[in-house]
Amino acid sequence: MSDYLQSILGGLADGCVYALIALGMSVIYSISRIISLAQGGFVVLAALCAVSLQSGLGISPLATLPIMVVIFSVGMIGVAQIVIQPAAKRATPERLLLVTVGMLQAVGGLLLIGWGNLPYTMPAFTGDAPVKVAGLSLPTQYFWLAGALAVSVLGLWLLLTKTDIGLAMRATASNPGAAALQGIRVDRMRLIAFGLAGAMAALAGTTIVPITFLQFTTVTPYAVAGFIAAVVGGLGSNMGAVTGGLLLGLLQGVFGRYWNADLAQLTAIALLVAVLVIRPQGIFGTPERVRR
Amino acid sequence: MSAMTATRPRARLFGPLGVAAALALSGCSAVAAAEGEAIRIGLIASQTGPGSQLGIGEVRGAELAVEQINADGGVNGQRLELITADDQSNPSQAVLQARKMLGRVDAFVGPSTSGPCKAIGPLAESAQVVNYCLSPGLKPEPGGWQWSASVATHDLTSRLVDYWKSQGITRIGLLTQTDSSGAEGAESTKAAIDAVDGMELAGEATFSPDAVSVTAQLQQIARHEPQALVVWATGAGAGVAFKGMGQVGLDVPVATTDGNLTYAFVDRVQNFLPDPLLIPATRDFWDPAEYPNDEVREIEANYHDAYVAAHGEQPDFGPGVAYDGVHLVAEALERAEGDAAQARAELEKITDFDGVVGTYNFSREDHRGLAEKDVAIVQATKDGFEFIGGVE
Repeated sequence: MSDYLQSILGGLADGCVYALIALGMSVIYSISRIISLAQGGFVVLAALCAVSLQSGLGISPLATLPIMVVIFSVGMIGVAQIVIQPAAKRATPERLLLVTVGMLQAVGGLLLIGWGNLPYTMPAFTGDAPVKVAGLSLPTQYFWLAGALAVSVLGLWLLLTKTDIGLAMRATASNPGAAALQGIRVDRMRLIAFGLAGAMAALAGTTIVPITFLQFTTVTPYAVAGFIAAVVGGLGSNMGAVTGGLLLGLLQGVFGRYWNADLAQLTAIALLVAVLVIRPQGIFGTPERVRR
Repeated sequence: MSAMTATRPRARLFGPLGVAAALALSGCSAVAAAEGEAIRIGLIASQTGPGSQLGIGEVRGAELAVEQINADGGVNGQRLELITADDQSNPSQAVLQARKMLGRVDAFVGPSTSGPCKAIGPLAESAQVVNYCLSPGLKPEPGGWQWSASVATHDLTSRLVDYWKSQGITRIGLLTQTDSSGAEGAESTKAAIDAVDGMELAGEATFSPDAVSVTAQLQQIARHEPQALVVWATGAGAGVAFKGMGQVGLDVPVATTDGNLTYAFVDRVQNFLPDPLLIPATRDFWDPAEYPNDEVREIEANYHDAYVAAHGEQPDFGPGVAYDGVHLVAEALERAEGDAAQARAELEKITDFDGVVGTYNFSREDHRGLAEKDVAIVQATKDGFEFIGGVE
């Protein structure tokens, strides 16, 4: 039984990362209608930047978290202003998808040039010794991962429902034209969405790297897993992104206990594709979003 | 002719030509080989991309071999030239680079990994040019135009299982990556365990190369209480597994693939090294006291000293296979008097050839030439690799 629970918890830990990637994609999509596959690349970039910061400057692993969140929030706003916004004025959303694929490749190339083809990791935020609970061995970093996801979900909910900026963002998501007529600076709202996605990439990358090894080749699997999670949950739905991510990780973990890892991954994805066949808008998506 | 003396003329010549070799290695303009039409070897290696951990060292090893061969008089007096290309760890790039070299080179050495090797196989076949692939993962066809470097996986795992048996370890867990190398490692380890009386497979699991965590798989294996664990995965995958062992409290001896015989890898995982981490390794990683004879001792010393002098570090997996590959191909071309098509038959006739990786015995059926006798066990430590035993 404890083995089974261990598989579930391991799967959910992976799922937290997928959920954070999907949540970042979802925030960007809901405000700007752009599917940003580059989000998977920024997660790995944030992770490796944190490792360099920790090993190069001797900063504690936990202290790299807020630093990375700030750097990646500002950095993503810069990327959006320099690359995405100008491209969005000329290209359709479908072509912008290709722009983000290009950005994903560019981030992978940057990682290869900057960090080489070696895997990187760093110490856990609060010690490497696992916590033993009811026969289960839980790395303390699992709690940080879950916490990062919880803070992201709660923070986003508070921002969107309790603040004027959130109201303006929801108005932009709902009808950008009408929002602009109301005096809302739509471009600025989109930049804020990219900034939030940057913060989530930093949270995901910095909290996952202590329990694994990451390198430039990880960008594509992360982008694909985040995309699947976002689509299954319902593109543009934050709750859907979280559900999709956790579900994907959970299914991979559980199936991986019984089958070959590749078959488990394939089965998990096939099951989620089956969900889309039954419900094309995703678990929490709305038909309007699909048509739009 | 005596195989040993006939197949290793450069080893004999190296002493008298030591000054010339030293001059050539130090970058001076002394050229011992005659000028004129050069013999050309095309080296395709993964100098960028995921395989660059091997490819960069392979280029260095091949360059060192060419320098030494030219310092010793070249190939039948003709200068040996190395034309290098980067396949970017990509099979289609390997084919592109091989096509560019066709007609200009007398033999191919490389690529670094099995995918690109398989991709250029048909080109080597149709052009009737020998291809000495640097990946142990390739399984060359008897009588074909491709050769494979280093030792086969089944010989590595067999030596490892024998070593553990001698240490009283009989229950072995198995964790493998779901790529072609991992699948072959799993199959070979299970066959090696089956082949030895009293050995038992104690838990088995797989993980995908991009897995973030393998703690669930490790827990599953731990339930079977193994006395040791085989982790057949390279790079990040192996690192994830080692880190996971600490997280689940699985503290047993670990062995991994020779694909991790690189200083860069050990440096990356040094804080999570299992105690001990064993690797079945070829002769270039052994203690000199274990070499079979003085001639091998001299060959190894010459190779290691020259490499350290040129690059300021000990060679790891990549340089050795390329160094031997160039020497073997040059030997075949020398015997074939520069006839590229004839070089295949001559390479198949080479036996008892002492290289730095092992002693090669080729035949029409065996295009690898090395066997379990060329494998021993080394331990990865924070300072590098330490020979611990397992020699026949």
